Amino acid sequence: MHVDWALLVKYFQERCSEEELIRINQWKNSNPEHQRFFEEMNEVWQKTGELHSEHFVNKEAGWKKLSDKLSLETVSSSGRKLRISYFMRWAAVFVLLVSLTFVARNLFTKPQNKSSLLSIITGNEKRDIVMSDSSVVTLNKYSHIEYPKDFDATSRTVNLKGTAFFSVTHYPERPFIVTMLGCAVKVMGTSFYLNSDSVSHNVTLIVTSGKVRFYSVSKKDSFVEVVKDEKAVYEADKGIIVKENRFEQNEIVWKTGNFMFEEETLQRVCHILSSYYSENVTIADSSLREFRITASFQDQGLTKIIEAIETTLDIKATKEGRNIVLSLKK
Amino acid sequence: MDKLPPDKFILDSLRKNDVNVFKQLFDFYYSGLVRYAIRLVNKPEVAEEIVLDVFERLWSRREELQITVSFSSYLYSSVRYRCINYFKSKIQSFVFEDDILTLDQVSESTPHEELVYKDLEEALINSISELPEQCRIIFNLSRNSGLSNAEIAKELGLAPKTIENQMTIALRKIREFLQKNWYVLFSISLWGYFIFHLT
Repeated sequence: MHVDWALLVKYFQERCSEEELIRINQWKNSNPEHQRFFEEMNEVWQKTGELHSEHFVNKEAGWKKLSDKLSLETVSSSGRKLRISYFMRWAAVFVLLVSLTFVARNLFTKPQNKSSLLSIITGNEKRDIVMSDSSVVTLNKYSHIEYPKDFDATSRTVNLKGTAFFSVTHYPERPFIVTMLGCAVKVMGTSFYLNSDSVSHNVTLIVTSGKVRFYSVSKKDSFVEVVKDEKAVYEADKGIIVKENRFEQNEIVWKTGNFMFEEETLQRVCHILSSYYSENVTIADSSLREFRITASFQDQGLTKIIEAIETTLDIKATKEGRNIVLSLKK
Repeated sequence: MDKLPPDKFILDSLRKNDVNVFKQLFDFYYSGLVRYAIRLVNKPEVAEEIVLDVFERLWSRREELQITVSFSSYLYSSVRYRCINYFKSKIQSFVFEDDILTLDQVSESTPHEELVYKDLEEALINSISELPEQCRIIFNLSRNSGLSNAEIAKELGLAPKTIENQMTIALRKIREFLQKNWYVLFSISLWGYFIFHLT
């Protein structure tokens, strides 16, 4: 088959004269093989203009780099800051003491270690951690992570208890591995959530971009591949990994600040809100439990959410200290 | 997060050193700009570096900044300009294979490992990165920057004919790579061919 490549490129670049257009059409129609070839190349040409659209970009690491270079600091709104500063102070002192203890313990017990191991435990606060490879970890409240101050050249391994969101910088030659009790996650560069339950030791994985390998430590070579928007659970008692097709937005609300309720019962809504905020939301009248709510709240305080629920369901909320009680209007 | 304030407001806020608005601007455009730059330079690290540079410069020049178009076109054209600058330094030293007849000899001297890619996108990304550097730069610019052959030639200080020849070489090499490494595309169309003839 003779192909005039220069003419083909000219055609794709839309630079053909009338006469050349006729030539290309004649060539195309003279033989089904030509026709097929032409269609393949057309697809190839179109595709080359829209590559990398799924490439995972580590925005948080990028911002960290930029703000470090320019010494920038974002400020959160002052009202909120004042309200929680009391807790923040105690939490910070607590975290500092605990991490110092761990760092000190690691320093003294493992003096031979090449790179010192850092250990961070959060109290009643979340925390962003940037690691030496610019990967960013958001550690949820009451969680614990251990990682080397400097990763070595061949792999990056960290250990997690509790809940965290990982945004991992892409280094194909240095896999990033998160180990937990009984199982581990291995990635090249992507972002995902992990949550290990302190009672059952089950581990929940939710992937928000890219692809990760999830495996149980006892069976390292048989892994489950989990991709964007998928969820998988490691069942500790059976030692197996079960994949689920979808996850609930509310499972990652601690990071996104985005609540989504779809035909959710009031009882369940109260449960979700209580686990996220430090206030305890309860229902006084049992008839209210099965009321259903469909709503989404982005970055709104608990007061606003409660107000919205009051208006939608036409009920009353009473606040006593850390308790919020929902009841029927008298 | 999914909507930005008007450009005028952003510009004013930047002048007032509002880091939060700068962060908003960054969050909104960063991923898109990086993907755009990767399409041009083919290397994620270089692309990120270029985009971060553009933002750094935007911040340090925020006081004298005049944006006559929109932030979107300002940022995208800054990134494109920087990618072209990045190429310029490299392209001076190239010797071009302008003669298309040399193509077959060149490709035969580089034996490929037999790989099978899952999807066309992956195979294409790899086939493009296998192109000789000068050829790849021109191909990427032409396919992704929105510049015409004449404009690319002018930017890189080359003859328009060179751009056309390099584009032709690029397409032939990509096709060759796909044939060797990615049989699915061709086998699918073979099926199509049979079905077409049976009906």
